Amino acid sequence: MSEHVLDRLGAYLDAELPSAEEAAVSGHLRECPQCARHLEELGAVDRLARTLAVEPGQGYFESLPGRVRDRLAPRPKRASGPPLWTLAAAAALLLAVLTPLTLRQIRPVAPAAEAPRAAPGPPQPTPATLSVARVPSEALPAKPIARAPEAKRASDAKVDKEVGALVMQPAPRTIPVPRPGTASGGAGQAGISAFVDPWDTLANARHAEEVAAARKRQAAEAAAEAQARSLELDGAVAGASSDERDTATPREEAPAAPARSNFAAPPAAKSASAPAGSIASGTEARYKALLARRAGTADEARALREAWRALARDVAQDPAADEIRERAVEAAAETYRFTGDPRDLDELRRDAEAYLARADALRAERVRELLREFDR
Amino acid sequence: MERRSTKPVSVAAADPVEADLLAKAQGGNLFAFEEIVRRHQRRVYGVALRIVRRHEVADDVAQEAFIRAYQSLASFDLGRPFAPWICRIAANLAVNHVRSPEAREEALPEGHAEMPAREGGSGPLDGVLEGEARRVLQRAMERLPVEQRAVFTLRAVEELSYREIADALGISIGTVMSRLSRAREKLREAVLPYLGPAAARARGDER
Repeated sequence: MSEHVLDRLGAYLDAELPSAEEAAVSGHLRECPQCARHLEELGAVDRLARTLAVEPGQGYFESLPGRVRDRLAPRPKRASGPPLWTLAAAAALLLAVLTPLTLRQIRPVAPAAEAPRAAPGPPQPTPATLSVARVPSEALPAKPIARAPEAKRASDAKVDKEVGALVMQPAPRTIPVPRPGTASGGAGQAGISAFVDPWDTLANARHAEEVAAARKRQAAEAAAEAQARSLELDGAVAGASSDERDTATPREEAPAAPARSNFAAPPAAKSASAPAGSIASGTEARYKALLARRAGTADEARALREAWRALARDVAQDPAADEIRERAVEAAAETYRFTGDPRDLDELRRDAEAYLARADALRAERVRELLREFDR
Repeated sequence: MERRSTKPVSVAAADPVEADLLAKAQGGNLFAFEEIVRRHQRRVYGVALRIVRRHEVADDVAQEAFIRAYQSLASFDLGRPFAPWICRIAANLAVNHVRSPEAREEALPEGHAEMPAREGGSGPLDGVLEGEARRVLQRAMERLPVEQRAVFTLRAVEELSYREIADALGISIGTVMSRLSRAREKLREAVLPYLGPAAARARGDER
């Protein structure tokens, strides 16, 4: 028998050996059960490593793309932004924030201990303007998060310096309006919006424009008010000592901070992220309801999967159908993660294969990735 | 047994949708890049988490990897697959972080496991045995020196070629091979008690 080949088994397993050497190892493996078993064991370790789950908190992968995008260019807002009710909520929040701030103007500055629970975050310059001007967009979950202090390290500082500077900048004094071309997914955007934002299509442009216009109006009103308030507040703060000014910062940030630091948004907040402004309102409501639903038991997980399937069937012609079909596959995957039941794996495979068989599947790679995750 | 090919299982450059998105992103279209992030985020986060072991850090690494990729996108060859490239960036950032002085101060508590093992499933191992084997492997991976953990992750999990791993970590292919070999031996020894029957079943289950 030739010499053992233990030192080359890894490279053999990885198909990284030169062909002559590979042939020699192959030959040896045929006659040496010891080396063959060792190779099996190395392969089993690799396979086992691939089954180790990598699951961050709920909602993480829904928010990450938006957070990356926001760091590259803080988005004013997207056409598929929050529905109008979130603006109403934001306006209420605005009042809640502004009323005490305004009152403070005629009262001595209260000690910091009175501040509502402030989530720790980076210091924000020009706090009054910042917190006020940001309120409407805080309704969107896909905002940069204020990282927890234990995660704040030197590398972060470097990152912030390199690319995060925009995130750290104070918000402009007026609320930005959608950029031309992104608001309605017009002709120039049609190609990419087909891939990226199924809700932004020409067919839905009018509704999106209406939403954008309404939001613009509200935003302008809010901005005007914010400007007025911030001027008042600047006066108040200028009159305070520098220490008091420092303590005022977290107070004014407080109402907005929790929304930013919580990327695993609770269902209610998450529903605001549903692509909106473009599909039939009934579909949109169902979409958001499903997005907000969480399964706590195997039966609930299966029910959720069925609900996504039903929605996918019902909206087959909707521009959002592709996304909904893909979410149905995700729900099937989630069900199987939940149950570990081979029947649920079969269901997942069936859904995934049906999806991949479509010529118009835009999220095929994601679905293939899911299949790979479970076929390992 | 079947060996894996060195060809990455990543999105091939031939994927026209991906190529189109990348081309648009090169032109500054952030919507397109957001979709690219959506497509690759699990993999990038997975690479980062397996190396840095903490969610908060993995999150930072994943974001930073995508941001660096975007900033370097102009030099990216659209004829090449994106996945190995972004994985390399993430791995490089993750290893650099773990090597950094501040990372040493945030050592993981004993028994810490960011990655809960998935019970059951359709793998070569079954049931209780599989769950236990995963836990043991998880702990053994956490104990590996970061350089070995990174090489093992990139090869065994992400299936990058030795050349790609060498490029990602700035080391020679010989170093890749020796680190990988040491990592695999340690991990094999750790899970050996579970591998006898498992390996036997694996032969039957091998697709």
